[in-house]
Amino acid sequence: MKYKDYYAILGVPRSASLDDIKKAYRKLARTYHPDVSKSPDAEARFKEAAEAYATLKDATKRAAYDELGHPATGAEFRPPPQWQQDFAPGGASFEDIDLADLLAAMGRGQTGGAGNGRGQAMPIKGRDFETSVTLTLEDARRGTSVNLTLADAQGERTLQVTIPPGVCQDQKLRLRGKGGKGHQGGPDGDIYLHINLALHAVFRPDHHDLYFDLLLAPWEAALGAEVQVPTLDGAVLLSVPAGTRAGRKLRLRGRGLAADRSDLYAIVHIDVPATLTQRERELYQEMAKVSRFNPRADGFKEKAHV
Amino acid sequence: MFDEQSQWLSLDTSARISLTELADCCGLTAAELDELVYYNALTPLDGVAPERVFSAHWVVPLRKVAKMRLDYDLDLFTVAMMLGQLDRIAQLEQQVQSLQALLPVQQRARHHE
Repeated sequence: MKYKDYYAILGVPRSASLDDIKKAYRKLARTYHPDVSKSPDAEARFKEAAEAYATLKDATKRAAYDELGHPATGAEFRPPPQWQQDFAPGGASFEDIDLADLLAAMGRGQTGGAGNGRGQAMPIKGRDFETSVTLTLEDARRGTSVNLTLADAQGERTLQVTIPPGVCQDQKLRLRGKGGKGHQGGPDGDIYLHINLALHAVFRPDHHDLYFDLLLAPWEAALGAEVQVPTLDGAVLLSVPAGTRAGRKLRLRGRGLAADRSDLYAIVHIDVPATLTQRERELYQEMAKVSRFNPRADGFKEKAHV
Repeated sequence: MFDEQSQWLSLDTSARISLTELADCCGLTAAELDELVYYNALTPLDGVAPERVFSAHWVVPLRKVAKMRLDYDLDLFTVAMMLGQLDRIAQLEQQVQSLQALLPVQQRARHHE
């Protein structure tokens, strides 16, 4: 087990008061927290400070840590015999346990701390992993398998997991007991997975529903039409009712991300030809003469589209 | 490599989680969760179960605030205040996503410029 000089990490003397330790830690946390600092070594510096503070703020842990004396940073050392009795009474090795894990476990009330003389191994829960995965909308609807790479002090491993069908943007999933291995009878950790959905050329997700823009010609909107529209499972025919106005949402039931509880919505946009043939111009001019429709007259709009 | 037929728990309002398991997930004690309930920062689901039950959607924000509590050495009342603010931010982000889904493609492109 390698020694770490927690006092040096926080930049305080070994005689520092709890207040001084707290202030030193908060200053470092404010400087190096990964949410705040963009420095490449920020995360490592922050973790180091947090580990040091977790021990030195607790009187019991600090006393146990001070028992170790003052070896050089990084020097190999053997924990006091009492620690062996408290943490690994069967003679198990400390080699695969970090100093920080041992000291952290003291504070969980599982043994009452080092030196309690109970002679029972302390269960230590395995590490939780938080990771994210980006899926296409098609994979989100149908479900898929992904490989998650999990790395910790015990090495790196790849876990192939099946993502259930019907997940949505920002959905969080928990896979119990598949995280880091627990120590000394402690439970294995969990995996927390954050789902991201890749941008799609056509569809936009909102929760489990999907939206896309449906362009209609004026006569299709006015007269109604059967138009071919895309879905994640391939093109289907959509009935556009006569008198469909721009902005209307036409629903395709069950065509969202979750087949049993979500829908696909076509948002209607009415487009016009950029240039008109002579005949088209004549027809539009004829319609302008005979139609009483005025889209800017609120009263008319209300009556015409009830 | 493991071939894992995953048993995922979706951490949303459709799933429920006991007080003990919520505490285990978030690294908080049951007493600390009770204090968050006392501050109205955390609301248990109604029911007559012997143990309090919560919506699983609390797991992620609670893990986040519990981590910030450790990272910045915050007290539990501050954690309660932050939980409310994080929940509000999550709701607003969801509203933005919903509104963006309704925007035509051209306007979305301009919006992201």
